[in-house]
Amino acid sequence: MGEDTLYQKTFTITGSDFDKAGEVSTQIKAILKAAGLDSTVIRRVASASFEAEMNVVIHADRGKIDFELTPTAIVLTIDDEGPGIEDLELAMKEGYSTASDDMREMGFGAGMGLPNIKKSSDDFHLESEVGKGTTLRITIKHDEQ
Amino acid sequence: MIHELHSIRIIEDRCKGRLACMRVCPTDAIRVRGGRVSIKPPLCIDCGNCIVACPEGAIVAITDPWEEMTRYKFKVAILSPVLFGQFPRSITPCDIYEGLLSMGFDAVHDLSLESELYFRAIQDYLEDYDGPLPLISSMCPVVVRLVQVAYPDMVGQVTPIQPPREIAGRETKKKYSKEQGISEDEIGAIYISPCPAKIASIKAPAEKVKSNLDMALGIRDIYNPLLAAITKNKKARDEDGAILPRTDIYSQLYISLPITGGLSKALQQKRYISVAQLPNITQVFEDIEKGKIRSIEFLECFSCTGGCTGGSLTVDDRFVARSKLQKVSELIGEALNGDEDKFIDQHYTKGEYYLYQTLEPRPVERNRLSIIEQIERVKIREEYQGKLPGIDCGLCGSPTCAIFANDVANGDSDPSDCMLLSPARVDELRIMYKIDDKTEDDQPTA
Repeated sequence: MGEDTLYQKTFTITGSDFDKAGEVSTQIKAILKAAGLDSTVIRRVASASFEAEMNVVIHADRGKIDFELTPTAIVLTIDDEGPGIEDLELAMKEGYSTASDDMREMGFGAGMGLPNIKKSSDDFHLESEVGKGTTLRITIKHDEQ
Repeated sequence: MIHELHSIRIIEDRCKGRLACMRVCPTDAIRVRGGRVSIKPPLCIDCGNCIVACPEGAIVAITDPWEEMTRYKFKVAILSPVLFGQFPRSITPCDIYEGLLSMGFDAVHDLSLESELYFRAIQDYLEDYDGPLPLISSMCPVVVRLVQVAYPDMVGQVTPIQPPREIAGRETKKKYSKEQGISEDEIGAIYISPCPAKIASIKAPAEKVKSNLDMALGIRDIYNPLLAAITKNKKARDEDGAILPRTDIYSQLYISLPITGGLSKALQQKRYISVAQLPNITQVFEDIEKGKIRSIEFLECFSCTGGCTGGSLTVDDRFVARSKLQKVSELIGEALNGDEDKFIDQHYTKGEYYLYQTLEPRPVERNRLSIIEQIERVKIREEYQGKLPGIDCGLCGSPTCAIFANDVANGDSDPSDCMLLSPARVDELRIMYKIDDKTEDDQPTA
């Protein structure tokens, strides 16, 4: 938690829990609405956090989302334990997905998750260790006019 | 301010603070303070749920008084099709037309043409549109206001097409001013409405321009005199054998547009969903905002169960009314001769039916607080949310514990308004609700 952090909260996510999937991003959105942020910013955060949350549910065993609000930005750090990503460059390609057939049948795995998150973010940092897990850190600025 | 005009009014001395309205308000706009109800105008979307819920009849719709009509030289009744489902099955649309004319209207106008024009305009708009999906239908004014108030980022997804009633306001004025040789101002376009929301949308349109309609009367308000007129006419006809005037309704779409699924079914080649009731609509809007719903192209939403037949200014049971409308639609279908499409083609001009101005978000409160102050409030709210029992009893005067926590954080409520945080509140409530201490033993014996 940085010095100028106004608000911080950590949420946990369970892999393959499709029933609860999306709840974290709903809660984050509620906080941002209450904080009176611009609706365009809220929508960008909501959509990025939803995609990130879904990635954990679809691919990982478990994970957490750390949400931090500063006077200028929203920082989301998504940390998961799971298979990790073998080829980061490939993972960022639109349409590329390693989701299983089962997942695809449920309508996931369009290969747009990470590219969409990147589009919504001002800063995007992805790190992964195969067999261990993935860490994604994104920043969305909210103080621009 | 124009956008804070509403069509709902509280009759204060009828209110007994029974909380029913507060519990059904979809935007949590209602509070009960000191045993009396109040509505927060910026949050109210005129859905009318509170009108139906109040056991005392203390919340009413503001409709225009009948006498207002005398202002106009030529009075045209513009009919929501919901009206046709409100009478016993033996009363036909023709009877209803005749009844309205006897009541003092100079002409009765259905929305056959306008419904078809609206539908074509929507089809064309969908065809050319390449913005974010799904597009949201603009038929239900409650939904439009909900988007403006709570989902400001989605206003661009509301189809900017005038609903049939508004197109009709413009068309009738043109038509009758020509036919009668009088100015458009002398013609009163009077909408017969199934709900207070459409009345509000006429008094204060969502896009902040003037409505094409001049007045609105609730179906409920004209029901008794209309039924009396119809009955009288029927009797007279039995005696003198006069012929009933015919209606010129030729559009099945006119009948089905205000019913859930009506518009979507007509847009069959599109991927659509049809959603009714605000909690469901809110759920779908949340999912759209998150990006969970992506494959849907068109979203048809109605605030009321089943569509406008569930409006709070209707009379008959909403499910029965729907079944009766289906029958009317079948009858219209039987009478079609195949020339209707040509007629509609002649009247349709692409691009003629857009809203006069783009829809703008309607922010609930202009925020003068800094983000730091706001976040302080969020923290106070979370602190109280942790303390409160979450049983949502409502006796603090806020609809839920979560909203009470929010009200406390905003300084609108005091923590001592919760009887579990502050036992003294119970005594206050006992006085407010006139509970006395007499037990059965104290009752005088007969």
